[in-house]
Amino acid sequence: MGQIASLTDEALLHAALSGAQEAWTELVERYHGKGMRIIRRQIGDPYLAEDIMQNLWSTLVAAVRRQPPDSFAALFYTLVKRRLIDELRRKGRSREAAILDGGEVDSEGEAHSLLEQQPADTPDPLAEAVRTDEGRILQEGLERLPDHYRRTLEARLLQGRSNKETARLLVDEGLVPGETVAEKRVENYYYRGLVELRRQLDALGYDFRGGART
Amino acid sequence: MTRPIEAVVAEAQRQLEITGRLDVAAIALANPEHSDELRRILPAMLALHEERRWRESENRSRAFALNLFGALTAQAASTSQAAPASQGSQALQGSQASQGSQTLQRAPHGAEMTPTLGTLFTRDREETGLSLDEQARRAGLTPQALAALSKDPTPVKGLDNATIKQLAGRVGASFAPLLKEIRRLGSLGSLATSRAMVFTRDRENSTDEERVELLRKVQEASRQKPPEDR
Repeated sequence: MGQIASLTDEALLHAALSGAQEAWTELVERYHGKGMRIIRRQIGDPYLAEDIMQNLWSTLVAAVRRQPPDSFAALFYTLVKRRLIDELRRKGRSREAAILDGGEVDSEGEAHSLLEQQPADTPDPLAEAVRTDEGRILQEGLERLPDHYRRTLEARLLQGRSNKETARLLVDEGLVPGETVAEKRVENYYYRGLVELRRQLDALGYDFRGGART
Repeated sequence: MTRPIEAVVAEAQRQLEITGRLDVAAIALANPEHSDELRRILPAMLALHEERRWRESENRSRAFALNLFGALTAQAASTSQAAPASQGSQALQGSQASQGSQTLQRAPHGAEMTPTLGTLFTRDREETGLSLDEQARRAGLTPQALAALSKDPTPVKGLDNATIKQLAGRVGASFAPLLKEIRRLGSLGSLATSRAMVFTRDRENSTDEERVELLRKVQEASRQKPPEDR
């Protein structure tokens, strides 16, 4: 696996086209999360983002079968940009679409990696997306909590476990003394965990949208 | 009687799990003794709930991408094989070999073919019946550039972007439209010579003219923007 990780994107693609499934897996793992983070910043709906990514990968596979690219990264990010522009225009967000549409592809038709973008103080939404990753900030906030608070919030909110299941998990992982923990205590950890998480997220500059959800 | 805030938060969590929604303002209003704190911590609950939806979407779409491996290798596997001809797997070769003097020389059944750029451009013009001017207009090239490209001996196989850039400079064409046209013709080239035949219905009974007409329709369709780019 270490050998796979040291290969370039283009070498991985060549291996994948030749039938090496682990090479394709490595490529997907390298890029899928990055693409999702960029799209997440502009598209507030995770299900729509899921559709966009699936469409993007389908298009990418069709493209590399016709002609393997000189730069896999350039092809991937060009497709990300194209999908985002389409979606922003569909939503009537033409100004943001225009920003995305400008300066990303040079006169020779070469696309540049979004990770090579300007510093974050320029009005480039894609560079901003890479820099400010909501999911990453949330995870960092969680990791700053005491273990039993963190694990309670993860189990209840990220994994959808019940109070009873969370109580069992806290005992199994040795995060609470004793062989049992009352569900009432889980509720207490849950509340205190949220209080502490809010404090940490404020310190990290997390952008809360909050309020009523529609 | 004032409810403990833990109970209010637990109830909010249950509401969120059931409905997927949470009205922070309404809950704070209904519990004035905890209003300020609820307005602080319920958004954090919502943020984690939303994060879960994002992680699940990311995992599903990642699984989708991983499963595309089969599609990635299917065509590559079929076009790389020089499988012996089997009943019903006749290529379109013979029907077009008689057309035009510079048409791609159709190899005998079962042989590999290595087209050049010149033969790709020439074959496309001959099979669609387009004039050089019209073909150039559709491709976004000048007639002069297209005339030069129609004689170019560069093999298509292994052609990379750097070579195409040099070619563009040599014939006076823009890189982007030239690249796009070469890719389009290259995909058609592999389609016509592949053992993995697209035209399967009534192949044994269709005439040469019918197969040529069908290929023309495929080429016309390839000039249109694919659905994913619309």
